[in-house]
Formats: sequence, structure tokens, C-alpha cells
Amino acid sequence: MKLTSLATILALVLPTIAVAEELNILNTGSETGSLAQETIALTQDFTALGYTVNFENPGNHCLAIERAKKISEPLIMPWASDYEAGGRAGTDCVTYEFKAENVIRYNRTSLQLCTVNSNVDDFNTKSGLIGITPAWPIQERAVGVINKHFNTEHRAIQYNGSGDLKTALFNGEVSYAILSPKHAANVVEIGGHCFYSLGNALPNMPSLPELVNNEDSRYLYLGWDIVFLALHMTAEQFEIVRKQFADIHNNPTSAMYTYTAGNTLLETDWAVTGDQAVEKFEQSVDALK
Amino acid sequence: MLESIAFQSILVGILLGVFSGLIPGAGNLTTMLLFFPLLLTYDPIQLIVIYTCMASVSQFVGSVPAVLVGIPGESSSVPAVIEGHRMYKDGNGPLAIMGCAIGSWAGTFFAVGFTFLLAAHMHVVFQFYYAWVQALVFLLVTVVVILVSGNKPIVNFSFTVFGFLLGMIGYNIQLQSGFLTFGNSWLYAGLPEFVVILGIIAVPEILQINKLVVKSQHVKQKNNTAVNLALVYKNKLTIVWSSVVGYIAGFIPGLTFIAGSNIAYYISKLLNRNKDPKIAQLNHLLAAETSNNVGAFSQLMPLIFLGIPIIGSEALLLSLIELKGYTFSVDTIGVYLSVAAVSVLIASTVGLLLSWPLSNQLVKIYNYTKYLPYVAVFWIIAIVLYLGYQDYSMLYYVIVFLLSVAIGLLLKNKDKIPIVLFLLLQDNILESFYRVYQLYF
Repeated sequence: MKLTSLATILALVLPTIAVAEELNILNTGSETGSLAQETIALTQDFTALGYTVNFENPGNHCLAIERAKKISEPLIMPWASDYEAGGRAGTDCVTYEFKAENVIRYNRTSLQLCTVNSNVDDFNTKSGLIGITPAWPIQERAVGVINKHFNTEHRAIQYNGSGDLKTALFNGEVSYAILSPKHAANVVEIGGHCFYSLGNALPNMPSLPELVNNEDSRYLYLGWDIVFLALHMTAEQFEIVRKQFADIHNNPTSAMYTYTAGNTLLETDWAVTGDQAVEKFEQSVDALK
Repeated sequence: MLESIAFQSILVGILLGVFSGLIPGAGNLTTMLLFFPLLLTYDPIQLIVIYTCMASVSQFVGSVPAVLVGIPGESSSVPAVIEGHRMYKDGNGPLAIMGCAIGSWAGTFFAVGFTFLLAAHMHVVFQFYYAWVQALVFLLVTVVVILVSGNKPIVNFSFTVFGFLLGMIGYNIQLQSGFLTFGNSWLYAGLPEFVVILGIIAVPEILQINKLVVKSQHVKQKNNTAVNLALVYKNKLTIVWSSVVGYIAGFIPGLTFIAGSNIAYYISKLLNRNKDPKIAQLNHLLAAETSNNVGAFSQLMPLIFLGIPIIGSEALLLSLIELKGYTFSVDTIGVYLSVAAVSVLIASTVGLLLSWPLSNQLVKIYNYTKYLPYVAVFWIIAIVLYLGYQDYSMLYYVIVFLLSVAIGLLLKNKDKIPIVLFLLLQDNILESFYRVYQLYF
């Protein structure tokens, strides 16, 4: 039965590949981090919809934008406000200008402070090593604010991506890590715990910016606004892809639904228009600069 | 568990491994993406089987064109190009193929054995990821390469620096700046490593330009199976120690078995300096090929034990498995590990059959192909053009290729592996030393 299915699939897929609509999906994050997993999930879902997807994974946002400039075919890619903020402030490698009519999804992600071998009391009173991921300058600034508030001397240690950072957390090279909700959930599964939200308060997790509550606390709103952009498409193609994008998120059998744990790990606001997304994105960039 | 390891998923994994190994520059991630719709139809256990079989068989098969034609199937096949293809040109092609196949096969059994011995202590093993441990490993590798590569130490040192600088070209995330990019967007992305390897290593090997004359590859091969088998068995210790090296190197993020293959190769050069050239070459090949197969299995451990992918193809595997509603957790370690172990043992046995008896037939065919060097070079050029087209940078790839060929020909009588090795290791070296600096200074 399986062999028959395999032969049937091959017979269906092979000619389909020749005529399916082509789509590029570009990961602008690290090779194995959150954006990588999210864009891989999108690759899976758009492939299932019948597209021939070319997945690009250059390994960091600097190389990704250079790659994006070369692609002239339909392209979906995320762009994060912390990368943009760093680029505009001159502390990071690149900026990227986009238009409201290219925004296919907007969402806000707040990071979390997690640990495996330590606890919140030690974090508040003792000094340790905090692992951070790109964009480093913004997260290093936040560590400075934490030290000032708690009178500690935590040091920020740079890792290229969440995968490397989680390994360092597990083997004890760093005591704490600043992670996205997806990776924070992984840490909890393996026996760690996350004790501060670097955004709004969550159930059983207070907000660190609200706790600090001073003129510097805005630098503790760590996370990013992400816009997913659909580029080099006709208006008709854009509308089709935008609808498919939303359907993917709400389809319980999709890879994206699995990745977001049924949209619980991602604060996606589908009601936001392109112009509103640009405005919110710019506000986030200004706050992070 | 055995019921889950369906014959079909093993067969699919093996076929994908053949594809990945035979098509230069393809690699496991590209192969998985090309056959993605097919992979969507399998459950998590079957995906583990497919991935494990693919990763194993690709290493077996990748060494065949490396030995016979001088074209590396993957970056881990570079030692096979240098030593294996030279053995072929000396008429010892069957011995080279046998060595690659048996070393790879035996190494796989060591890999599985090590894993089950270490399973209860894997949390200790992951201390390998301490930055100072990684930095120390790279420092030792550097010293070994400088001391034992086939040139004077000062030349080896120069080549390691040159290779490192080639790897630095482009935007460097540690330094947060470009290096030798001259504001050029092509250079910003760095040099295409596989193209550089093809130009510096593969083309000169194929053309054998010693006296500006292209020699035919028509060399009669000495095909005495019993004698060759005895020789391989006599050097079995190489398989043992290179398995250890390969297992450890398999944990290096981003490089895994590629690093293992090259590191084991250099250790072999250190250990076999005063041996008969034919025996030394065999040991170098055994070391590299054993190591890369062992690393192809151990690279799975961070994923199985921690749910952390350390290379792109594992990230895709993780995503596929999560899509099915599964994940990697403490509860899945036993099942996934057992499935991976049984699969890799089966796949490696098939890989042994594919890369040894089959290649003997290919050797016979190659004996009658006088124009093989030209065909091989043409094939390499086609690969470069295709890779450049995929990256929207065909002209850039051609320029890099031509410059690499020029360098390879200029250094035709030198051991160029240090250049290639440090081109590949540059990112990891810089990252580990920079992190040591942050942690301890």
C-alpha cells in the first residue's frame, strides 16, 4: 500500500513540480533559531498548497538582506524591528525599507528570561552570565538596565542563535538566557523555567519592565515587532498569498499552527492593516534604538 | 519498535543518501528540500529512519566519485580526493574504495556502541560545547595541521592563515563588520566554499598538471580482494581511533562530520609519517572516511537528547517531526535513539555493498574511459554554473572558481588541504575564541 502511495505521489509530484507556482521563502534569522523554524514551517505549508518553494537560509540577517536584494521572483521574508533599530543606530549591519502594501503579517514577540540551574532570587541578587542572541547591542543595553536596577553585575555573552544559546544554558556555560517564547517553551519542557517576561506580564510570569518601572524600563521591552513581507507579486498574487498565510495559521494540521502551538506562542494581529503595521513597526524601532 | 522501521522508509533514506552523496554540492539539506513533499507523508519514527539512513549512505557514496574521478561529493570527501584518488592513479583504486567502505561501515558500529555507552552520561558529553573546550580543540587542530601537512611548517602556517583569511571574506557577525568586501555585495556574502574547494583541490587533481600535460586516467587497477582486505584489517587500529575523533567532532555545530573527516585525516598524517606511502595513504583514507560516518551519527545526539539541531538539515527534520505533533523530549530519547541506531546499522551495511562491490564495476568502466578528465572538469564547471544560478550569482561563482583553479594550479605541488580546512573552520574558530574572550576576560 505504501509503495503504491509512494509511486502515486511521485507520479503526481514530479509533473506538478514542473508547473507549480514558484515561491521563495527567505529566513532572515540565524540558521537554526526561531525565524528559521518559522520559515521552515511556512515552507512546508506552502509546499503542501502546491507551490514550488525555494527556501533560503543564509544564516544571519546581514547576509539575508543581501540575498533578498538579488531575488526578483515572488518572495516571502520576515523582518524584525530590533534588526532595523540596530541598523539605524549604526550598531548593526543593515536596514531594510519596505512598503505597507507588502506587509502580509504583523506580530509582536516578547522575550523571556529563563534558567535551568538557577532561580529568580539569585538573578535579582547575584551576578551571573546572561546569554543573548542578535541583535546583541539592544540586549546588552537591557542587561545594563537590569544591573542598574538590581545592583548586580550580570554579563551578557553573545551567541549566534537560540540553538547555541540553549545548549550553553543546558550545559551551564551561562546561568540565564533571553529567549523567544518558542525556545522558552522548549527550555521549560527540558526542566528549566522562565521567570520574567520582557514585555507584558504573562500568567505566572511578571513583566520585568513593569517591575523596574523607571525611565530606563523602555529598554527592557525586549522582543521585536515582525512583519512578514510578500515581495515581487502582482496585487492578485498578493491577496491570494495573504489569505493562504492567514489560513495556514488557523489550520490545525499546518506546520505553522504546530510551531505556534495553536497561535498561543505568537501574538498575531490579523486586523492590523499594512499602514498600521508600518506605524507599529516604526514605534518599535524608535523604542529600541 | 521494529514494526515502525518499515522497509520502505529505510529504502527511501538510502535513495536520498545516494542522491545526496553522488551529486556534488547537494548535501542533505538540499536533498531533503527537493524531496520535501515525499517526506511530509511519513511519521516521526520513519522520518528519523530516513534521515539517519540518508546521512549515513551519503558519506559512503560521496567517497566513490572522490576516489574514482577526483570530484568530492561533499566537503567531507576532500581527503578522499587527495589520498583516494592518488591511490587510484597508482592503480590501487580497489584498495581505496574498500578502505572507504569498510572504514565507514565499521565506524558506524563504533558510533552506535559509543552512544549507548555514553547515553546515561550525555549531560557530561555536552560539556564539549563549552567555549574553552571548542577553542582548545581548534587550537590542537591548528598545531597538528601545521606540523604534519605535506609542506614545511612555515608553508603550512601560511596556508592556514590564508585559508582563514579566505573564510573571513564577507560580513562577519562576530566582528559586526565586513572584511575585504570592498563594498561589493557579492563579497559581502563571503566566498562560496564548495566552489573554492572544487577549484583549489578537485580540478588540479583531475588534470594532473605536473608538466603542463594532461594525462589520461587510464590506469590498470590492482584488484586482489583478499590482499586488499588483509591490508585493511592490518590497519584496523586506525578505524578505532578515528571513530573516537569522528564521534567527538560530530558535535561541532555547523560542521559535524566535515570537521571530523578533516581532523582525523591530519591526525593520521601525524601518526603515519614514516610508513610506506601506500600504507600511509590507506590509513589517511581509513581515518577520514571512518570519522565522517561516525560523525554523521553522533551529530544527531544534541537533537535527540536536547531537541537542539546543530545543522540545517536537522532543523528541517525537527520541523517535520513537530508538524506531526511530536517533539524531542526526555520521553522520546529511548525510542528515537533505538530507531536511529538500528536504521544506521542497516543503512551502513547497504552503503558498504553500494560503495564496494558496485564501485569495482565502475572501476572496470573507468579503465576504458580515456577522456574522463575532460568529462570530470566539464561536470565540475556545470556544477559551478548551477550553484551560481541558484544563488543568483553565476558570474561571481565563475570568477571565484577560476581564481581558485589558478591558485590550485599555482600550488600544484603543495598540500593545499590546510587552505581548505581553515576556510571551512574559520567561522567556528572565530566564534569559539571570541566567546572565550567574553566569558573569561
